[in-house]
Amino acid sequence: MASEGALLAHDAAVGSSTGPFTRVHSQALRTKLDQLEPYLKDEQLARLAADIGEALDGLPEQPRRAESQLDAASEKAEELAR
Amino acid sequence: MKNLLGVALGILAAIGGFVDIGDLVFNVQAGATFGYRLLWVVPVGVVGIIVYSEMCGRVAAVAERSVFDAIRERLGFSVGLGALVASQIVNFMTLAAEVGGLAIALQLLAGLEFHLLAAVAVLALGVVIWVLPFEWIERLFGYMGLCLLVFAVAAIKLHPDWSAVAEGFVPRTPPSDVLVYGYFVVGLLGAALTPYEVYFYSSGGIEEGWTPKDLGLNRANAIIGYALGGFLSLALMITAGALFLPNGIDPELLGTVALGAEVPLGTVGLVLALIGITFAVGGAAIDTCFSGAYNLAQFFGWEWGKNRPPATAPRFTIAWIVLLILALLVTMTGIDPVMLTEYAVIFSVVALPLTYLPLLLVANDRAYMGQHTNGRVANAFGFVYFVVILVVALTAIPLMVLTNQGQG
Repeated sequence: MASEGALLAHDAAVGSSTGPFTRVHSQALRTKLDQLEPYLKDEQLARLAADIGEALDGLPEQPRRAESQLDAASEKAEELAR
Repeated sequence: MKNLLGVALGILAAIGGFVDIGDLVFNVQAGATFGYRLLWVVPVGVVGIIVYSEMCGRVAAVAERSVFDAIRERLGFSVGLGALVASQIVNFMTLAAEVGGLAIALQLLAGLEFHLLAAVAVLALGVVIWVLPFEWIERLFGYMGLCLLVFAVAAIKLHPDWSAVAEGFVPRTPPSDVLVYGYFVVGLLGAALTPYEVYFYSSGGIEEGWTPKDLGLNRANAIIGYALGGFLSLALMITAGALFLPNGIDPELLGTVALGAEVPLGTVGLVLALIGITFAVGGAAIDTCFSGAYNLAQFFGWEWGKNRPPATAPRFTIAWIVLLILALLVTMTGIDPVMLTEYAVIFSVVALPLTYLPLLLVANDRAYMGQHTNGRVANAFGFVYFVVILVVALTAIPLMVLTNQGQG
C-alpha cells in the first residue's frame, strides 16, 4: 500500500496525474488501510500503518511530502518483512 | 458494409464482454502475483470462448435457437430451470459488479460522490438501451472501449523482460504457491469463458437475423473479436508483471489498474485508461443486463428483442429494467465490486458446464443443424474444452476456499 501510494504521490507531484484520480484513489487506499488496521497486532506494524495513513491523507494537497513519507514507509515495510 | 457492421458485434462482445471487470481484476492480479508466468492461460481461454461462441452463433444462424432455447429443449424444463437459476444468479452478480465498477471508473474520472455516480450511470445505461439502436450501442461501447489499447503501449513503455514474457506462454510449475497459481488459472479461464457474453452473442445474432449465409461472419466475429480481447488481457497482465510485481503492489482496487497506464504514460495514459475502463465495463453491464433478460424470455417463451418496440416485448423490457434497478440497489449497499467480481467469476465457472454441454449436443444434432453440424475439428475442440471446463468447474470453489481467494 505504501509502494502504491508512493507511485501515486510521485505522479501527482510531477503533474502526471489528475486531481480527481489522486484524491479518489488515495482515499480508496486509505479505506483499505483502515480495514487492515484492526488486524495489526504488532506495535511496529500498527505504527507503520498509522504513518502510511497520515501520508495518504495529505497526499492530494502535499504530494511531494507524501511521496517521501510513503517511500520511507515502503522501505520500513520491506525491512519488517525480512 | 453489412459484414463490417457485423464484425462490430464481435468487437463489442470482445471489449464489453471479454474485457470486463473480471478480466481487469484477474489479469492484473495474476500479473502482480506471478509476473508473466500465467500468460499461457489467456490464449487457452481465448480459444475456449471462440469455440463456444462460434458454436452458439452457428446454432443461432442455422437452427435459430438461442442458448436457453437449446437448454430447455435438451435438458427438459426442470433441469433447464436449474441451469437458468444458476446462470441468472451468476449473471446478476456480474451485472452488479459491472455497475459498481462503472461508478468507480466515473468517480476516478470526475471525482464526484460514488452513490450519485452509480445512480447516474444506471440512468445513463437505461437511456442508452432505450434510445439507441443496437448498432449504435455496439459502436459506442465497442469503439470507445478500444481506449484500453493504452495498456498495450504502457506494457511496451515499461520495458518488460521480453524473454520472460515469451517464457510465460509455456506452462511451467510455479516455484511455490501451487494452489494460488491454480486459483489464478481457474480465475483467468473463468474470466475468459464468462457465459453471459455467449448468451448475448447468440441472442444478438438472432436479433440481427443471421442465416446460414452469415456463418463466415459468425466465425470472423468470434475469432477477431475475442482475439482482440485476449490481446488486451495479455497487455494488462504484462503491465502488472512489469510494474506491480517488482513494487510489491497487490492490486485490490480498480484505480490500481489505471495506475498501470499512468505511471509509464502520464496523464494521457491515465485518462485513456479510465475512459477505456468506463466503456468496457459499461458495455459489459449492458451485455449482462440484456443476457439476463434474454435468458428469462427465451426460457419461458416470452416475446423478446432489443430491436422490437418495447410494447411488443413487454416482459423482456420489464426484465432488463428490473435487473438494472436491482444492480443499482446492490451497488448502493457499498459492496466492493472487485470482491463481487471475484465471486462472480468463480461461480460462473461452476455453472458453465450446464450451458456448454447442451449447446455442444445441439451443434452435433443433424435434426437442428442439417449439414452445419460440428466438423471434426470443431468437435475435437468442443469436447477437449468440455473436459477443461469440467475440471475447472470442479476445482474452482475448493481452490477459492483453500487459497482465501488467491491471498494464500
